[in-house]
Amino acid sequence: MRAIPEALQAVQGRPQLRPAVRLEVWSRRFGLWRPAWQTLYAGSESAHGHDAGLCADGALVRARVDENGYLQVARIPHPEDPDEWCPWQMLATADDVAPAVITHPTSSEVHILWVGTIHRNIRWTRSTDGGVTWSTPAQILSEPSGSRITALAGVFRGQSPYELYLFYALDAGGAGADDVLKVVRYAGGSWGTSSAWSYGPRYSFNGLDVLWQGDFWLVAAGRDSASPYLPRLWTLAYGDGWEYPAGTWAALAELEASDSTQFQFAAPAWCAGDAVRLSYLERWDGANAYRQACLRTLLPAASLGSARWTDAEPVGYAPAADAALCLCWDASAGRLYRIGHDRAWCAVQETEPLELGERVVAYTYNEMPAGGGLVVMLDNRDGALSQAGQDDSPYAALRPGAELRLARGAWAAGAPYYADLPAGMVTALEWRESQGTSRLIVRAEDWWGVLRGWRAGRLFSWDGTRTTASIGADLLAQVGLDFAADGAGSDLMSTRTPRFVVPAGQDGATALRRLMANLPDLLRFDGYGTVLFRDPAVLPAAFAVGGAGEPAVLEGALVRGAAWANLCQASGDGVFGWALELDAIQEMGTRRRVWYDAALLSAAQAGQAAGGMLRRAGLEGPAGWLRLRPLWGVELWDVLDWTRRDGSRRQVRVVGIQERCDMRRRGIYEQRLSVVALSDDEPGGGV
Amino acid sequence: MMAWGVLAAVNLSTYTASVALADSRPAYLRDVVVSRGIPASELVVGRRAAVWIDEAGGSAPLLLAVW
Repeated sequence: MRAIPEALQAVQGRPQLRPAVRLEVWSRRFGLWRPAWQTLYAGSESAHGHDAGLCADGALVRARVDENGYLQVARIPHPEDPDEWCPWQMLATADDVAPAVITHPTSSEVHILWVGTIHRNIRWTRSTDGGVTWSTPAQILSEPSGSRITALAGVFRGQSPYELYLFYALDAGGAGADDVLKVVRYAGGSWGTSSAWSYGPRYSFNGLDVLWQGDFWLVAAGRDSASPYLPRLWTLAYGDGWEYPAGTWAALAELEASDSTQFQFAAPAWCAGDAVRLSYLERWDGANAYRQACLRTLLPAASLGSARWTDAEPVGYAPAADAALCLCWDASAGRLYRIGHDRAWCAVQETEPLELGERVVAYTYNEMPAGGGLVVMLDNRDGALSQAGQDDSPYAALRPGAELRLARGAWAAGAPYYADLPAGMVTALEWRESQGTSRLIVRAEDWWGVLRGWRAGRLFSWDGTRTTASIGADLLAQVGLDFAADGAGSDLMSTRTPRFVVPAGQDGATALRRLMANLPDLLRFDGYGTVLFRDPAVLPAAFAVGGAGEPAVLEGALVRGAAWANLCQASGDGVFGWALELDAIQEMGTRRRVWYDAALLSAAQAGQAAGGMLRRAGLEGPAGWLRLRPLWGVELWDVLDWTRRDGSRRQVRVVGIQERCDMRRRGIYEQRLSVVALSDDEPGGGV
Repeated sequence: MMAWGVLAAVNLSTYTASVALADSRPAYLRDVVVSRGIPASELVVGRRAAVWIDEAGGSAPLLLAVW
């Protein structure tokens, strides 16, 4: 049951209510902003290493290594102004390794570090005026002869603009896996001595970036330690006392892996803004070779070391060499910059949605266990919506891919009150004209639809060490959804560890159904960004309908029918569990559901699986229905305490929701709920 | 479900294999159990392979055939 305002609670189910509808359109998906990029700059710089950072005054400082081996810098005072890009100024000689620009959001301190021309030394310059003037370049360290520095990245530590950490990758110079990561600290105006990584070396590191979020989080591209040294994109932490002890290295975690040395990852860069966003290049060196920049977004509550990233989304940047797509976030202006070696883009985060509630003529909402959607009819008599979705229109945000949030409720005591329906993603706009009217029909799909639209671009495989809940979370993260228990999931969600495989090309909805096929848990959407799983044995809160003072049931049908199974038996290797309903067997004869699941490791697990499946079979039996005025807080799987005309009471569970509202015809504002009667021996079942 | 690919690596001591599935970006399906009906001499890297994958992930993938 979704919480609704008290004022709505008070009038729920009453006749003659005046509907209140609010319709918002957002450029986001499940709460994650989807930037609408505008080109800022298109130059002709050659594809070499570069970096950028934003200063406290909003100026952008860039550094690049040019084709002649010079480090060039540029300060762009107002980066949102295309005319200010990009006044390069030569600073020093440099090796062809991407430099590091280190800025602080509250300070005019800027540091630039780069690799010197002998390939094994790091040089440094500092500005105290936001990149207007620079100190004389100096060397901060030099590695032994024969070694080579292949990547570097730096970041200020926490709130301090005076303490920074520089990380770099060092190739010892020999054959095989001999590359390590090292770190050196700058504090009190001077540089310390570098300390090396405590894990086994890798074959190579070819790109590095770092963020500070309590600990130092690095993203690194390179090749692994064992022959044939396969390409990897890793994350790892260098502890600063938050999750990891200060000064300790955490192990590398694979974010992407390739089993061909011809398919590599390069030039990673990440940035913490409205969310943590990551860019990197995918590089194919075989026939029809290409480089393609990809963007991913970390789910809001996830750790940087987790796999909870959205699927890699190709963006329009395909450099001729491994030049990064840098990301910079201007928090005060809500601007995100995407900066390539010769291109730059900007997107401004919306703070207000496009509000279309005044134009809503009618809507229908449909939510079933296998999916649903929302169709909204908008008034377009003035033609204002005819350009919806076009860049120069005030209704540009209304386009396929936008998030649609419809809140509905009623007027009470002269004021409108609303309760949200779950978010949907716009899939189609339909301009309809008939009998002198002009309407815009907006169609949106729910989370199942979004998941159906996603297909695995590569093989996903879990090795039998991860729980079903965490596999589901990895899977749903691909489209930006979180996965969590709704009160309590079944024990199997946290104890069953399958060898789960999603082949390339399979859609997400099919994969999730496969994962959950032998589990009793019920799924529903919290309406914002999380899919919830729930043990069907756990009863949610109930509405009371049909009785005195309760929302009236306008029509209804209670169906008592046979479930598709009345005996469930689950087996693992040498383990067995079953559950049965003797009364149902007496009536219908035995209706079995029999399955083998080698991931069931104990009789207790098998028994839980069988019992849960039996309860689920009951919910998937023949459904009755109720027609009533909207219960604004009702959700899938809620239990209704239904008082029938003869005064008897019966508990039913909601297994489908349809709602429609039509402002044109007074009185059409109702719900039709599909309901399944709880069996007599369920808690609160027969009354 | 069935999947097709190319045998990428074989471990004869555990009788398991890695298979590069068709249609996927380079990523191997690892620790695939090899049917004991397939002689070791036939497990030649580069040969085509058929793998059975348990829908719900209860069992490890099984290499059924090479050709």
